[in-house]
Amino acid sequence: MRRQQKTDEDLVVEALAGSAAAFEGLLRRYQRPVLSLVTRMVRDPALAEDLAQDAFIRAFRNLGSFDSSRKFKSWLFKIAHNRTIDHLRRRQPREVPLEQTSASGEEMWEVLEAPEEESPHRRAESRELASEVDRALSQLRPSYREVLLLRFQQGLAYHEIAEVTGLPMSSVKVQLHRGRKQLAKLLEAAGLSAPEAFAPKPSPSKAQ
Amino acid sequence: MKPDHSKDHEMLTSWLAAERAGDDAVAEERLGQIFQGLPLAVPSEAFAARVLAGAGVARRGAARAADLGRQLRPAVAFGLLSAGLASAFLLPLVARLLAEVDPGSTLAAFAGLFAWLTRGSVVVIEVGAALAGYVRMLWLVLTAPPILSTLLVTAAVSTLLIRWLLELLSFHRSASDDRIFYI
Repeated sequence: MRRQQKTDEDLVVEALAGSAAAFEGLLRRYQRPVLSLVTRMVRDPALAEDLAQDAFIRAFRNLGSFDSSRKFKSWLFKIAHNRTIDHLRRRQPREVPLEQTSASGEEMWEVLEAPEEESPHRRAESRELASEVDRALSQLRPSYREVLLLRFQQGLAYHEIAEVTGLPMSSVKVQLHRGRKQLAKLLEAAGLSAPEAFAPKPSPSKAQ
Repeated sequence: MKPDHSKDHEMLTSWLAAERAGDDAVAEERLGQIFQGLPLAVPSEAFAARVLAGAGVARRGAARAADLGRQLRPAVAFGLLSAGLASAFLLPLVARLLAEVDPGSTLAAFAGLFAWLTRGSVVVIEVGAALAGYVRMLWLVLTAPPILSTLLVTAAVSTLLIRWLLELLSFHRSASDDRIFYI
């Protein structure tokens, strides 16, 4: 029989009791989701890793102040959100459009990995769609991008997104709606609704 | 065979159609499917170790304790074996020594030891009483209002300074960091 996976709450209780394994469990569970969100927000893999690392350290050091009536996931994402927003605010005066920040598309893809259950062929084509969606996402304002990622990639409910971002729930809904519409507009403008948009392209090696 | 890339196209067009039709529920569902296909970031190998070290979590504390237990096992076994062998040789020797001991002189030795301990206890009690007197005097001085308030203010200022220094050394603060304590 498969052993039942421990809940976040169990791991938090064990971590507070001093279990290093529980800290590792929480870290293993959330390192990729948190890093993915931060990477897509700052679009610089090395910086994203520093910010995510800082967020985890902060969360683990302050685990005693975590209100166990709330969800650990929302709390952790809130800390990551704060670190990311602080960084984006500090960078604001010399801000360049996010699509032009230090990471090239290829650098981004080096740290982003498709879900493992997919076949290599399916992974390659998913990557094509994902890369287009990522490109369009990078052109959205950070607040829209973040709510879209929290809602559709991390699967958070509206009230959880409100907790993470510190926005009223009505604003979360408005931002999600506007973000979706803008993303759709960008993808349509990129010609992705045309049937030939995902036709197989010759790989560089074959073309040579 | 129909090429696989149609699946992505279908997913995308179905979402875009739902957006155009204003069907929020379907649009959310389709966009959710698309986002589920977005790749997740892979942290570097040292990421976990850096986080755990930064958070002051002992790395694999339980495993390390188990390792230590395994390393101690042969030492414990060796100790028990040595004690067994030694007792096999020592017991006859001890028995022979006991047979040669005179009960009268042993009793006298114990009586001498008891008298020495009693004298020692009296000295300890005298020293304790003197110390208690000093402590009482010190307490009276420390609880005098001007001295007590000075001490409290000094302690509070020192605590705040140490906290500030620790914060300064560990992280750079920012306004939004404070919010994590209120959720």
